[in-house]
Amino acid sequence: MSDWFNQRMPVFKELFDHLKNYQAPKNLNFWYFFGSLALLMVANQFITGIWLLMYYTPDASLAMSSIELMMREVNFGWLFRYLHAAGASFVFVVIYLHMFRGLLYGSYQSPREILWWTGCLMLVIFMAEAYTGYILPWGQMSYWAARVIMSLFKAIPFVGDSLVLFIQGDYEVSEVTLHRFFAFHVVLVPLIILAFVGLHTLALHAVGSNNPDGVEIKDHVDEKGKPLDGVAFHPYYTVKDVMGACIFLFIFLSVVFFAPRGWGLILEPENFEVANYMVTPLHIKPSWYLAPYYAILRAIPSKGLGALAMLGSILVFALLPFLDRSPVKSMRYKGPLSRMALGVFVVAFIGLLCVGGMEVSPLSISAARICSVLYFSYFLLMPIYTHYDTHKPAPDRLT
Amino acid sequence: MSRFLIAALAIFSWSVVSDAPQYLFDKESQIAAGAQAFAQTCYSCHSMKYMRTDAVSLSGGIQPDQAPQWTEDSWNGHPPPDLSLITAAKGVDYVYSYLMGYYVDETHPSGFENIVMPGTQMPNPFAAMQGEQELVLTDPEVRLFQALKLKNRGAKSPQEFEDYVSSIAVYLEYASDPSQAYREHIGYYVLGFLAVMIVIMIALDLAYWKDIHGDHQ
Repeated sequence: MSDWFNQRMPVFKELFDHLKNYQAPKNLNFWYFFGSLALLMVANQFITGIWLLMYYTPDASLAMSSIELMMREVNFGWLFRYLHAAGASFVFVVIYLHMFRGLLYGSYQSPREILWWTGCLMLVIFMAEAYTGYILPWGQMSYWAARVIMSLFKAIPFVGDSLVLFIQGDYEVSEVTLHRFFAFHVVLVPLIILAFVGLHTLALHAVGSNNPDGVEIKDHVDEKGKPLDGVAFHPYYTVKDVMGACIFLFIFLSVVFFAPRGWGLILEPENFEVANYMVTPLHIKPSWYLAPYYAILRAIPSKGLGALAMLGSILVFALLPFLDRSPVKSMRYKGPLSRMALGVFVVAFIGLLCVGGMEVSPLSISAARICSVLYFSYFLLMPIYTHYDTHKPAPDRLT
Repeated sequence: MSRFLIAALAIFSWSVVSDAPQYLFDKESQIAAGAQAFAQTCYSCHSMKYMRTDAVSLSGGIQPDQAPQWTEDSWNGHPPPDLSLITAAKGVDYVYSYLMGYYVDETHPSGFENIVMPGTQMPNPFAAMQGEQELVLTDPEVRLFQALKLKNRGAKSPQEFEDYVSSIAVYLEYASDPSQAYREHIGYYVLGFLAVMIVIMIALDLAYWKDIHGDHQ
């Protein structure tokens, strides 16, 4: 029966052959869980999103009540809502750790530049998805955060105003914007995400996974062309990834079942009040995962330059393949300067994340400025410190 | 706007908000008592629109067909808000302290001021029940119970009144997320299942990887 099917439509056969024949380095550690976990979380967002879509009404007067009534009156409605809301935060947890892995082991270096760039683009696309989704409950923070972000687009020279008008469909964020963002959030952006998940996986399968040693397993193959240090992705890494997924789900579902509002980080208190354009919240803050870029925006006194720096802080990741002059990929063989720089970058990123959610004060602005300088120096000074660093020679094969 | 700012200052820079008491007796009976108290004291002005099919609310007397209706321009444009999500928005401690925080102030049109939300439009609903409190300290650093003192007793004793108010706070906390009890109940099974799965998957992983780790060097 399966032969009959495979002769006519070899989709499952191709998939399985691909998983069995895909050679992954045998020394991948826990940092390599986050790629498959990102896929798991995207699947979670798609499935729970479809269920939410069955009950949600994209109408300013009904948006919040459709969600709240679904959570109370639909069987397990609360579960789908919390899985989707907490899932959005966890998508970013996973993506940030996934990207950190890339920085740690030099996964952006040749021959993985395009793989890295598709990932960088996906970060921007996920931000768009999160931002358009955040407006849908039509709470106070939905509305005011949307206004703040839309005002950033106005800083674009020449086309800013007409672009904002085109995106939000009105002269100010309004119910028209809600309908539009609903369309973007449930159709347009998810389609782009699907396409990029495909491209990212395709590029990965062309160049193969990097590994903690940062050496190419394809350089040493046996007489059949199989890498000596590779193992078949299936069953070795499918088993390992399911193990990783179980551990991750334990953490994720602990939050979903026992702290679904995430101490105000997943569902902000302000967003339990329906949007009111007569009352500005005292403290408009972005979701935690956008806070670092928001902190960079606020650190710069000029709005135009701030918006530019904010955009730059996201896009600068794409320049890494050109900025890194190290002869080795992995932090295991890079010298003390590179290690320090990465450490400083992590501190700066977490610092910006904290400061971005705080109210503006002289102290928080100073902290944001210091962290912004450190954030950008990691990237812009990279050609210098990687050039003068004392690297250790990378081994020939995996250790 | 200025009133909003003052209220916000009260929330963020003063620490008058006191912690709501921990649940003193069985939580379910407290929620039911709170639903009754809400129907008795609050429901004449405040709706509870998201609890329209909730059994505890209905049996407590919060009937959707008796929900108060306000036009947008009533109460000088600030009609009494729906309270379904009030503890999610403000926190249960805030709501509890607000309800406990009325004191006599002749300069206020209704004769009562609120220490948590100065200038509130809501008249003191508890004057007969609680008695009258007076402001004894205006130091912004003191907490609710240090700042306010009961001048003359009302129909309920201070303890009875505190139980009454905390039952309302507990009911409002329940109304902001009625899934909590069931959610946490099945949450233990979900995490228990995953814990077993983690053990099985680690064992499976070690079994699969045994031959690879063997010739690792």
